[in-house]
Amino acid sequence: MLGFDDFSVFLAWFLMVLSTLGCLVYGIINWNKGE
Amino acid sequence: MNYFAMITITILYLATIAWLGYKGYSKGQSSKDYLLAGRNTHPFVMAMSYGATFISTSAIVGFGGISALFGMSLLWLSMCNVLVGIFIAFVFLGKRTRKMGLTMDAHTFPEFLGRRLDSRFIQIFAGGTIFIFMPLYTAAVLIGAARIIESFLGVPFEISVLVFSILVGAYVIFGGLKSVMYTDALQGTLMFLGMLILLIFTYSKLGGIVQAHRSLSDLAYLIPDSIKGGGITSWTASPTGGSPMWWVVYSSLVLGVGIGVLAQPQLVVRFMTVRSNKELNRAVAIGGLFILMTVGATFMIGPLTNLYFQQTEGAISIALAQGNPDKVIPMYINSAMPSWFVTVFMLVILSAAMSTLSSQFHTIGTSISRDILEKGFLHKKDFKENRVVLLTRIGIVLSLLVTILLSLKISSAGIIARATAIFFGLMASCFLAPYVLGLYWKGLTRKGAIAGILVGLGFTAFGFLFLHGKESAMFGLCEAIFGRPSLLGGMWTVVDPMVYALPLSIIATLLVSLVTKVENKEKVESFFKKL
Repeated sequence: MLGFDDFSVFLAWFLMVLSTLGCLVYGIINWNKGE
Repeated sequence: MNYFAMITITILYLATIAWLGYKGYSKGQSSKDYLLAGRNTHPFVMAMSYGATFISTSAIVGFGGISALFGMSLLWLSMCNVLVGIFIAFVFLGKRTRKMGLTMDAHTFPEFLGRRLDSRFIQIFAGGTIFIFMPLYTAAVLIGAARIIESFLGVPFEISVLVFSILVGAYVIFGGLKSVMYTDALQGTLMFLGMLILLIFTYSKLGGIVQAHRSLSDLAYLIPDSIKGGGITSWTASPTGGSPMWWVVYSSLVLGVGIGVLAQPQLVVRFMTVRSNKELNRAVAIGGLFILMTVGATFMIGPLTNLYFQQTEGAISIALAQGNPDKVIPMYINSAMPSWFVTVFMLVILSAAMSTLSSQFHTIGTSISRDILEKGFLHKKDFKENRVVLLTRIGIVLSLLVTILLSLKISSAGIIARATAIFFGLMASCFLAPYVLGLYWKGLTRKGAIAGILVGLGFTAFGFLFLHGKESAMFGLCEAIFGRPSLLGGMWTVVDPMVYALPLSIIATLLVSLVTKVENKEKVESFFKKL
């Protein structure tokens, strides 16, 4: 998996990317929400 | 790029910083401007300021070097930094902090806690904790910056410490939080671009993502015996479960910094600088991307320096750095990158240091003026607007002096990452429970919060003085009383005190709150009504 030696580090990498995408999606969906 | 060009670019960079500092100064000097940037910060400025304050030389130089030693298991920390440090912090804590802070007219993190619990003691105690312990973290950041200046410009370490801290202190003293946040935005942008270029360069040099990781995995036989015995078996794998290195990576670094970020006073105050939740929503997207590109990139590049140096010098990076992890990243940049990027990276590191240092000086300064002096000693006097700003400026000068002295005293190998983890863990153990419960639970009482703070501080101090190997040996108190460096052997010498201090602080806060009465019920109702 991406050349990592064990699943734990791959999972950390995957969750890091997923969390960033989550932040982007959340920010874009709520871009104009919030007077 | 020659030395003259490097100096010229550095001067241009500093001139831009000075202009932004002046811009902040010229936008107003009321206490609301000076302490909270006028509560009308642009979301991009707020997000970059939060990120650039969060990510310092500690992350890039200190933790980057540590990751060259421990490997890519530190990606769990960058995952925590995005998920906890940005998403959870902004969405679940930031919005409530902003609204409640506005309702209570709080200007600092200690003031936020003090007003929420109607307790002068809590505000003064939190301010005192920041004033006493934050200079340790500030010194770690300053040491990282001075090492970079020493490495790239050849300026002696002591002079670098002095000149750099005075430069940063100058725009913080005159411009307050507005100047800090404007300069943070520029510095954060530089950091983002610099780390992006560095990540692309590194992977392209080493044959692409998968190839680089595979080649690094194949170098496991080169891991020094000192850490192999501790549980590190590969630079692309986690340490062996339950081994000493596993505890160091996951308790001190991942938990200590990953969770500790939620109770950082210099970051919490950022939530109170924006006008509405709209700005916070937008900042989530910007902040997430920023953290991925700074911390995520650092923890991938750090271990890969071993592969680069093995291919070019025939030795791993920690050996070439003579055992000092703080020298790995500067050494890699100097050796692997084109000369123009050496200058760019120097500015990236200076930006990382300046953005964090400026916020730290500002936070310590406001703790001294707003939380200790104004609340503790001068609370009955007529506290005029200009006196708040003047006292904060005096507080910042004091924090500057303490930091300089500390930086010259503690600049030993590996101190940058360690000092950062200690401060993050301490703040979380003391203040995370009352802060989070204060945002969500009307039943939190003043006595409950005080119990949680004291239990957190007590167990953290006990851990560092009597259990955690490195610190208990350094303080020598355990040796003097019990004749041995640590009270308990085995894993207790490597488990970060936050692992037990934070849960105990939460339990104490909850239990004492359940058996005591809410002292300021009407006020609490009004705070929650507006959420």
